[in-house]
Amino acid sequence: MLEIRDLHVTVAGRAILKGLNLQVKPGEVHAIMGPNGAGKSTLGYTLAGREGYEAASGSVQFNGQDLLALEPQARAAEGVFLAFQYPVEIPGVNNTYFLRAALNAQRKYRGEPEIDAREFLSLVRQKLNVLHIKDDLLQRAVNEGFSGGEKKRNEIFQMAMLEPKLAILDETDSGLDIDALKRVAEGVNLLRTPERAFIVITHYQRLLDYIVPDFVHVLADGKIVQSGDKHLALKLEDEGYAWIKQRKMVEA
Amino acid sequence: MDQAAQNGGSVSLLLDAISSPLPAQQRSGLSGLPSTRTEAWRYSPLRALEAKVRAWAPQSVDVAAASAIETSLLASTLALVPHDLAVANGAVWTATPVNPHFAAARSAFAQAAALSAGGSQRLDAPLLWICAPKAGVKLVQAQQQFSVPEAARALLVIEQQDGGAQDTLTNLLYQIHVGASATLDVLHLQCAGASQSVIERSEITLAANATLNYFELQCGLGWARHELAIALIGSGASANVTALSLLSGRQHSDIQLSLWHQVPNTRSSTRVKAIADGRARSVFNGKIWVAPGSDGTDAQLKTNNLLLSDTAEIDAKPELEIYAEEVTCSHGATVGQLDERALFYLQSRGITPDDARKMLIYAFAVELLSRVDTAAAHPAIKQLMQSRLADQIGAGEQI
Repeated sequence: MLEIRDLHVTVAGRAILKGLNLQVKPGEVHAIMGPNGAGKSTLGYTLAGREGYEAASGSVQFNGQDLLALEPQARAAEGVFLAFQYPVEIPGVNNTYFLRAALNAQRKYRGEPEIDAREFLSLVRQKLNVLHIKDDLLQRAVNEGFSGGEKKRNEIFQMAMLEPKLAILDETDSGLDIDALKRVAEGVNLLRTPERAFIVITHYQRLLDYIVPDFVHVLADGKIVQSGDKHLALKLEDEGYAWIKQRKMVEA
Repeated sequence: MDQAAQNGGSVSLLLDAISSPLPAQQRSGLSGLPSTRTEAWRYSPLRALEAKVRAWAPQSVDVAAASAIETSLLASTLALVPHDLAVANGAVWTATPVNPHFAAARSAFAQAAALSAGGSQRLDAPLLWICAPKAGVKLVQAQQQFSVPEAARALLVIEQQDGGAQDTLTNLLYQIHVGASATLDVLHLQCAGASQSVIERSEITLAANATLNYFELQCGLGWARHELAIALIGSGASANVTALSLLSGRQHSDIQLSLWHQVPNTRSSTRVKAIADGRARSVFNGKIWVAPGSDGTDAQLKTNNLLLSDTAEIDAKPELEIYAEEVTCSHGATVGQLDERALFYLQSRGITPDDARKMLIYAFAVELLSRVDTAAAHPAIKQLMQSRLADQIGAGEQI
């Protein structure tokens, strides 16, 4: 589904990703862990197409397409979803209106008919029910005045509505207390299907207690330096990231 | 003369003006126009208007022929009709032309509305004042006085509409008094038409525990200046001022707000926004003045502006002048472009950059409606914003 080869990304003149390789198949959950400044968020932004995060070299294939050649909105319509570490507050844009606009924009791109108001509302109700989210969220402006937990749950709710093929969760656990973290993780688990893949970017292992990954990768200094299964995350939890640095020094 | 005394002087002038209107010639300001050397006129040069005035001053217009539009922009939701209905509902209106040389549209008379309804009765029929100069009208001058009796609640709708006139200069004065414990909602829609020049001055006094909710939408105008002078003269008085300018092309909008906290324990909250595209220019000068001894004043003033082109200009100046000790006052101004982060956020959900831009521009504007209590007017005002944004700025269409 996703194949990243030797990806180099420069942000504001600084090389951040320096030859990253990653392969993700449908239904898989990949955790990307690493110290601050390793390039974790840059990976998310690059895949979603944020301006200023352009690839200097390397390639990203998504379901056979050159992902990097697509505009951000086209990537979304092709099935890439980024759950932001810091969801943006948009005063004045009603959440329901925003979601319907997004859904219809994606449908239009794919040549599907627009969803009508009734159909949309029943879809919304269904997703809210599944995720145990209160519907007062719908009447509010996008993320405006939301608590940290509410913002992250709103990201998960958007993901549920937009039904992406690949969801990238950028430090979805940051700023959440344990209860909020559990609720968000529960939402993510409900959205796991044999077709949908996840890239879970996180600094801490604790999120992976609740979203159990198939693979864990350690990202350091712009590269994946080690890959393994969920036990690698536990090792990181025990030993911290210092051993990676040591290992790299030895390599150097 | 020191600063405080000067301001004190202008306050008493204001109050004088409200109790006994100045002669029309003095009010009209048509002779001896201020130049841009005067700070308050620095960003709104009057040279172009002066030429208009010279050309048209001798002309007289048939009053009856000048009457144009009798349908409110808000008619669909507020069931508004011109002032005849207000008469039927107990309001007494008298009409006197301010200046016999300058004829006015029928609805552009000087009118004094002494609302006879007393007690806590809500004045259910909103007062509507439409100024819509008909084709051929070159100059409109008018002066209105409105008084809301003690403990009453009233809604005043002021609309400048396009009545077909070209290159008209309109010069208006509103004098409004809100009685003790009364509430006045004002919806002021400035949609005069692209060739129109409008100079307005509003002088509003609030007695003890009176509340003013003032909303102004400036769009679809050519050149407009509104001097909004509000004096909180009774303890417990409260003013909420909200203004929005939607500008493009060569539109020019200038709002000069002066807000006087004259006595202790008054509050005011002001939010002013402008969106400027093309070569448009938005000027906002907002001055809050807290009189000596006016402890317990709470005054908040904020202006946020959106600049959509390299050639548009926004001049925003919030000011606070405080001569009391125990006050809570704040002011702030921002001028910026659309938030790149928000644009990307919308795009990352599948929305095209063009639609994302429209959505954010509309959102920036519509956010102010949360400050308008008259919920019945929201749909019509939204529609007005949407169509203006779509026409002028290419934003605001429903997706």
